[in-house]
Amino acid sequence: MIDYQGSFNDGRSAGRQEVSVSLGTDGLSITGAGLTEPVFWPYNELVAVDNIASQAPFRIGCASWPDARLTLEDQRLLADFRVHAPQLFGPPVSKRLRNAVAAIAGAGLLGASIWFGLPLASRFVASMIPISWEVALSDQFADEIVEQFASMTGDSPRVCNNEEGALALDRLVTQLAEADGSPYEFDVKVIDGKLNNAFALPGGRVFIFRGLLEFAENPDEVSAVLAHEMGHITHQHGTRAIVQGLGVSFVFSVLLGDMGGGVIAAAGEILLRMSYSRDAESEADDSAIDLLQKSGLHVGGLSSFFKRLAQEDGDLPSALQLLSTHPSSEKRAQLTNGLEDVGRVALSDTDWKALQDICKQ
Amino acid sequence: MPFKDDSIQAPVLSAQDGQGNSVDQSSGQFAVYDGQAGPITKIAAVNAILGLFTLGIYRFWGKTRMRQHLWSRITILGDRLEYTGTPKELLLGFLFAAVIMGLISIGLYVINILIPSVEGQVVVTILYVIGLYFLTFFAIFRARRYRLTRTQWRGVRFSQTGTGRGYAFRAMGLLLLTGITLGLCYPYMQTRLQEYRTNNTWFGNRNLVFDGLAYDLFWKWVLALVLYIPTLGISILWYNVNEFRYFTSRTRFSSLSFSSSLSTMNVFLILLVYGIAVGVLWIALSTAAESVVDFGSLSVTMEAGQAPDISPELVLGIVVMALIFVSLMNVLRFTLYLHPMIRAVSETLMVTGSIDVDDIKQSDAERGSRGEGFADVLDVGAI
Repeated sequence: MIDYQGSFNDGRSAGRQEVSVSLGTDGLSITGAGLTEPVFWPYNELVAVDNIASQAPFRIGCASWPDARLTLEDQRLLADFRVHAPQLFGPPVSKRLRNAVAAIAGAGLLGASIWFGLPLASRFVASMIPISWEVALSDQFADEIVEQFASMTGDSPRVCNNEEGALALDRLVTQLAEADGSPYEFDVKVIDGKLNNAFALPGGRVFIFRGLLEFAENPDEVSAVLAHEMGHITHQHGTRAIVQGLGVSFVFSVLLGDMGGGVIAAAGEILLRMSYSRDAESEADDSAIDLLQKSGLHVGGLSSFFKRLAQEDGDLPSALQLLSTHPSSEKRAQLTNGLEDVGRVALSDTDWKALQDICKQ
Repeated sequence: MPFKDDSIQAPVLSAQDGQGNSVDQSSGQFAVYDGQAGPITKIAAVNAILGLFTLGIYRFWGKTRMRQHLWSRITILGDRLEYTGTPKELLLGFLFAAVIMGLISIGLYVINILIPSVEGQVVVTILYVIGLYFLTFFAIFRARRYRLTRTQWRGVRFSQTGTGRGYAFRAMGLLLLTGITLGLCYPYMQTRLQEYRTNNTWFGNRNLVFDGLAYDLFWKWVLALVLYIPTLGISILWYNVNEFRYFTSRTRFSSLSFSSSLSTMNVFLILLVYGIAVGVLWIALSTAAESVVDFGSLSVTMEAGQAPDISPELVLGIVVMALIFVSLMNVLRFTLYLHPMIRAVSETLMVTGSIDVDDIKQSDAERGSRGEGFADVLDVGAI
């Protein structure tokens, strides 16, 4: 029987005792001048502190004596340990594989639940938010957003409201709002800017730029755009996007913590928002058709508007559509194909002229 | 026996008796650090890659692995330090902190919506910033406690008394004082905080003692401020190194006293190499990214907010670049910053005096079961 030399810390003081260790059938016997009595450590309770196969000297401990440490150096011990205490060499390959598979599956599950769960969760949270909160939120940012859009074409954000124009706009909005049955009170304004665009804010506010009124060839196109924006509001797309944005940035920055979560959170938020807003646009289109039909108005304006928009702006190459915010204009141009278009024109010629001239003072 | 490349023979430190149970020396190096860039880079790289593929969850295992390695590379009196923390503790601490931070964020957002007046929002924002500072200091102190209670030498644990609350209140008060005095009280703040940290640090049943005075640092701080512009800020580094040396010289453990001869030049060179590496990495990646993606359109559309009309290539480009950059930065931080810093500090840290380590008994301090959650969530930037 060989005695191996080592050093022992009893876990009660910082002292170090030189000891000799002998291997029995059930465990290690540790004896030394500095020990009050011999110590016995069963093989199955041994735990490795260091990577014992690659480091010398190496330390081991005993599960039932948590703070004590035995430091050994002799490499011949390793052969005995492999037989009697294989746990010292780390978990077996099968267990490591199982852990790896579990980790990958877990990460996949986590990713999937974020990707699919967040939109659902934000839809639910948004539906719980009172309309007055949505209005309050929009009021905070409306001026700023209008200003930013207007500055894209170098315009200052002025609300157009000459008398005849405002009356015509009101007639258009009332037709749609009355048919809608939406709990929201719509507040539609025209901004004196060249931008060919319109947008909706949570709570009921819609902004249309003069550029869009000039681009539109008839009142049907404007009523289609208006119905589309009202769809955004009724389906709470903006509110949901805000809730989801908060959720995503929180989840990512928390998940990745000090791995630089902030940067990745921002990028992840854009990606999720893009995929989300594509769905939102389609939903708003469907809801627009529905609303136009309920109001008894022409639905064809929706398609013709996007058809001409596509000719003007060009479109994204088809491979990239998966990630783009808007459904392709080509696809949208065909939205109302095959629909029975029995509705009436939204505005009389006089009113249409007045609406187009709403910004004239 | 085949040895892996990270196998290292323990250097035998000159213990004064055969047992290594007492130190009695005029002056000698306190700790030997034998970490090598290769194995550290390998661990950091594995952690970065697995961290990304598991959406960050692997980092609790990765951190534990890195700490186990770094701790075990530090030898004092012939025996290595040991890190006994577990990934599960870090995970629990993280979950706890994440839930609390989540509730705070939601509450703040709701308050922000419900308070329409600008004045009210300013007040809320100020309170939020104060709260964030408080939580950050709190997190730093609690994280320190976790690490100390998970550090052993010869089976005896370190520990920390004092409370995170106490530390955070002190730090906030001192920070306010420093602000009011336009920074002149900075050495006072540092000294008082170091005093709180050190005097609350224990190895086994004995604590460290700090008796530094801010006055000893005051004129160096003034000099550093005066020379800030002509030296392009390097005077602050010079002050920090001097502060570290002073704090070390004012720290005692029983009858052991310490000193450090860390030089500003040494730290400067480490930071220079690290800074150049980060700069090169940044330029290389942004050049590579710009050849693929046009960043020009980004600023306008991001601000417009409501209608993000960003091309998909742009977003994918940003995501990929951010992931690569953040991962490589994490690796560089260990290889080119923390590793050389630990080496520089340990090589210049001297100890004087004698102590009978047999008399140091095991700590009976509470260890807690949760890891440093807030430090993780708030990213206070420790190892």
